[in-house]
Amino acid sequence: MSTVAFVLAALLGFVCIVVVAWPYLRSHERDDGLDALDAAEAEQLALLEARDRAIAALQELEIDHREGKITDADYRVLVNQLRSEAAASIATIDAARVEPPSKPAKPDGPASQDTGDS
Amino acid sequence: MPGLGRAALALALVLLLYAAVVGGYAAWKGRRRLLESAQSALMAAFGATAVATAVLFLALAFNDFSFRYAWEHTSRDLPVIYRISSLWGGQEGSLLLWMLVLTLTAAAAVAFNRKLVTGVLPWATPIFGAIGAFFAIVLVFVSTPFATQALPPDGLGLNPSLQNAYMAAHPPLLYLGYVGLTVPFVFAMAALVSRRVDERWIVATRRWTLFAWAALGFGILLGAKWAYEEVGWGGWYAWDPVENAALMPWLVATAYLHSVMIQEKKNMLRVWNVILISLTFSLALFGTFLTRSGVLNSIHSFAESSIGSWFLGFIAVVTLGSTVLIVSRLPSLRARAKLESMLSREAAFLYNNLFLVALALTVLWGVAWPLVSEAVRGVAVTVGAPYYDFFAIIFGLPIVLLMGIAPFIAWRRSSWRALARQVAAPAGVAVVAGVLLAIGGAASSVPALVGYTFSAFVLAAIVSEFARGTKARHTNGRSWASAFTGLVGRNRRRYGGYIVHASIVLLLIGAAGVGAFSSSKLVQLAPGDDVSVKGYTLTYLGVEQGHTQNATEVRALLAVSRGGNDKGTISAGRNRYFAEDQTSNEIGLRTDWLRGEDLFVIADRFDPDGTVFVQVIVNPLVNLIWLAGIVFVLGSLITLWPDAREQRRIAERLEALATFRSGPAGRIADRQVAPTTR
Repeated sequence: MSTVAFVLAALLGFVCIVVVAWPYLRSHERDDGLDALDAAEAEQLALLEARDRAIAALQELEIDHREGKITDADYRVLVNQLRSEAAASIATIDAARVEPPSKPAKPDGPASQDTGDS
Repeated sequence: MPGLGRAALALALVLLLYAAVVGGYAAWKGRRRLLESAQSALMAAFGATAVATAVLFLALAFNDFSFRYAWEHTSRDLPVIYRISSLWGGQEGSLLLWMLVLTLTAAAAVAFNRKLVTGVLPWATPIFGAIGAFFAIVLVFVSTPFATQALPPDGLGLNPSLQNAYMAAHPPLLYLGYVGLTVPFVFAMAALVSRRVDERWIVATRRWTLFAWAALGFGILLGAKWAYEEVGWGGWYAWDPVENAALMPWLVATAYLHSVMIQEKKNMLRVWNVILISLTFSLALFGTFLTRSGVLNSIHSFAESSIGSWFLGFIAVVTLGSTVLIVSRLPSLRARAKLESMLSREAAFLYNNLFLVALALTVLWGVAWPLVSEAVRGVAVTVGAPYYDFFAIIFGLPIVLLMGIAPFIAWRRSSWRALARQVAAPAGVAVVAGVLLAIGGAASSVPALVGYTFSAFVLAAIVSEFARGTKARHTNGRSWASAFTGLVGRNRRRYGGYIVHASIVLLLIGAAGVGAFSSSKLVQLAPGDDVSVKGYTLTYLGVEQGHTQNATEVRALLAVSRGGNDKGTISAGRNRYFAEDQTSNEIGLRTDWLRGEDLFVIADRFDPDGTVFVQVIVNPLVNLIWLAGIVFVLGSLITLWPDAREQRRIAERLEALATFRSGPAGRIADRQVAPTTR
């Protein structure tokens, strides 16, 4: 390897090491856990998605009905079903906002006080 | 500086192994900074691969023949554009391009999806690292592009058939497609490992998948255009194994793009979708294996190939690994929702999936059977076009029919009566078109007539969908133009999809035109002789000779007339390339856009007595195939274009989640503030 190539390769190696080590060079926070959702949060996100899915399905049903792709009878059955699904999702989301179902309660933290209050 | 190239590749290998091993450990133990470090390693691997690629690129561009790869694939006389495209003209360069696109895609996919799939993303990093490490190992230890030699005076040049503008664009697009399809595969596997098997990974990778699928589809069509103009047999697709290698993953990816919509909307088909994306990725690898292992020449050249067994081993690992993972996660993959009716949009998508996968597997069997036969029985067999044509018609026509029917079927459930009312007008258009075409002579080919009738049905259905949607918005007080743009803008996926469907129909019309109605005549002409084909008369004027930067040209010059009207001249012949010491056929092509047909001339034998063997072909409707490519890109772009409303919805959802996460403290604060605000 020529000297120039060697120097450039060494420089590239150094830059790569800095890039890889950067998360440790940049932050000295003690919290090193992944920003993962706990069970309650995952459930909440699933509920939010289910709500959005039901609302989108309702919108699509309206378009299909307006364009004559679905009979009035089928429309009535499906619209009731989808409204119930959307309403149920919204109700569960609202309830969870007041009382998270399985959020780990801290012994003397605000979560336990709040849970008791609601 | 081959040493820098080798060092950069070795560094990329180390970084990718780090991303795989350390990233896996960090995901398993939930270590944030270690995972960020592994993700940074993916980005650094891209940087190192880019440096290696730049080194090879400079060697090619500046004729540094001390690089063996540059010597084998370029020459001093080679035009600059082909010196650049020779980067992917050989095995080592192709693999380097694969790795460059892969590391870039991996780094970008990880960077752009940090917020969307928090549970899945940690496992995507090591899987990307492992796939990248495989390519790095092959490039470092098995098939290096940085082998050197004593400096020769000139290079061997580039295969003449690769000296074509379409070939400069075709391989990179295929690699974008193959590599882009790695993203949904990796996220699917990461979702399985992390047991987050909901549709979030699908939403996060949707645009990556669409982009990869569009690039692969457009790349296939550019390859067909290259074959039409460069290979010069008068056709555009020959069911060649190399062509099929790209078609198979595209067909399965098409099925996947349809079936994921059902998972997004109804949370169904989870198992089917991970199977489809695993199959797509395995077929993309199989395609690279086919084109790079030498297995297509013979089993013996495969045995001599340096990378064939490596690829076969990797495909086996990927297939086995994904199968084990899917089976182990079956309980959590089972959906609660069920198909409500066999007459619903989701059911129609399911039927389309079955036909697409059946077609892909049929093509796979046609490609694999000669290899299996030679390996097991020692007998080399070929599977010809009739086999593929038969199954393309059997499975392709129902797919086309479904493209026309499915938009009229509602999600969840529909009724035969509603469907009959919807399809009446397009079906009427199709019947009228079919009858007129039959009277016009199209009945000489029943498959073509059926294809055209189905095409008329689908086009009428698409027009009807656009017209109905626009009219509905127009009645709400918008202008026609605003109603139309609003319709497409607010439903990009749906209406972009319809435009893609229209492109498939154009392709079908063009393919049927060439396949069923082209005319051809092979004659030996002396100067002054003429030949007539389908209304064209060509008079042989004589031979012309010339030369380009790196070749000599011999051309037969022919005067063209139609119905007594002079249409100019056309020339066809052969090129002789100096450095490569090879000849290539150069066809003559005259496109009549008004008649929608090509006059295609091949002249491949010039005798000393001044005569020439000329084949004249008239290809009707062939240009619709190329037009289909443009429409396909347009439809894909509309589908791909970011939807601000969807971004907003995701942002609102994340905001709502953030509020939920800070909920107890927030509520405490509310309660403390409450008495003072009463």
